[in-house]
Amino acid sequence: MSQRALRSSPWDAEATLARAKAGDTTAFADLVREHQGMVFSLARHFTRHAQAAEDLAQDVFLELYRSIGRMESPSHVVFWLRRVTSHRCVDHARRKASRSELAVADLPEPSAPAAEAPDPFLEARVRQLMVQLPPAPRMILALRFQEDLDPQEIAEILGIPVNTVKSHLRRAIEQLRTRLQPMLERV
Amino acid sequence: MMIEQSLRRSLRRTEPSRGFAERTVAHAIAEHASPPSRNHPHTRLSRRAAIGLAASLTIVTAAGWWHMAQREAEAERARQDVELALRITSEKLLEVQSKVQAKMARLGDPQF
Repeated sequence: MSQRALRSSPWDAEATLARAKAGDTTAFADLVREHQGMVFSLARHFTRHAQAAEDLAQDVFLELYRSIGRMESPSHVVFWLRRVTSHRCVDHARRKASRSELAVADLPEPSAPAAEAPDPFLEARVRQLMVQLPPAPRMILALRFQEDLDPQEIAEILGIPVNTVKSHLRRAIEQLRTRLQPMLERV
Repeated sequence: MMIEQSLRRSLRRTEPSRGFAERTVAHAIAEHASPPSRNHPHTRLSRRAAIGLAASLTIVTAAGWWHMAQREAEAERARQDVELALRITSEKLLEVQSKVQAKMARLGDPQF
C-alpha cells in the first residue's frame, strides 16, 4: 500500500491546507504524505544518503509546520517546500564537505530500485557522478530532472539569475556526458 | 538526449521509509507542546541578548544624562559670568557718571 493511500480523506489540496492551517494535525500528516516523495527525493539525490535525506526532509516539514499559517495556496506550499529543501541541502553540503562523507557517497545505494531500471548500473553511476558535482549545479540537476522544472522556475526557487541556472545545467550535463560516454555507448 | 533520459530515470522520485509522515507529525506536535526550555540554546541566546541590550540602554541613558548635566552646568556658569560682567559694567558706569557729575558741578554747570 502506498503511503498516499493512508490519507485521512480523498485528496483536496485547498481543503487540506485550510484544515492544516486551522491546526488539524491529520490534515498536516496528509500534506506530509503528499509531498514527502518530492522533499525526500530532492534530499536523497543531493546527499545520496537515505538517513541524511530523511533527517533533512523531516527538518523541512517541521519548518513547514511552524510556517503553515503563512502558506497562501497549495502551489505556494510546493514552491516553499522546493525552496526550503534546496537551501537546506546546499547548506548541509557546505557544512559537511568532509572526506568521510565523500567516502559514504561513493558507496553503492543499497535500496536502488534495480528491478524497474533499464540499466541499474548506469543509473547508479549517474547518481554517483552527480553527488560529486558542487552543491549548486547538483541541486539544479535534481530540480531539472527530478521535478521537471524549467530554468526560470529553478532560478525562482534558488533565487539566482536564470542565465546562471542555464550555464550550470549546460556545464553539469556536459561533465556527466563526458564521464558517462563509455557506458552510454554500451546501452 | 541519452544523458538527459538517464538523468530523468536516475533522479525519479522515491518515498522515504514507512511511517515517515507519522514520525514527522509526532515530532512537530512534541516540539509545539514543549516550548524552548530555559536551557535551550535559543533561550540562552535571547537572554544574553536582552541583558546586553539592557546594559547598552543603561550606558546610553547614563551618558545622555551626564552630557545634559554638563551642558546645564556650563550654561549656569555662563549665566553667572554674564551677570558678573553686567554688574561690573554697571558699577563702572555709575562711577563714571558720578565723576562726570562732580566735574560738571565744579565747573558751575547750571544743569547740576
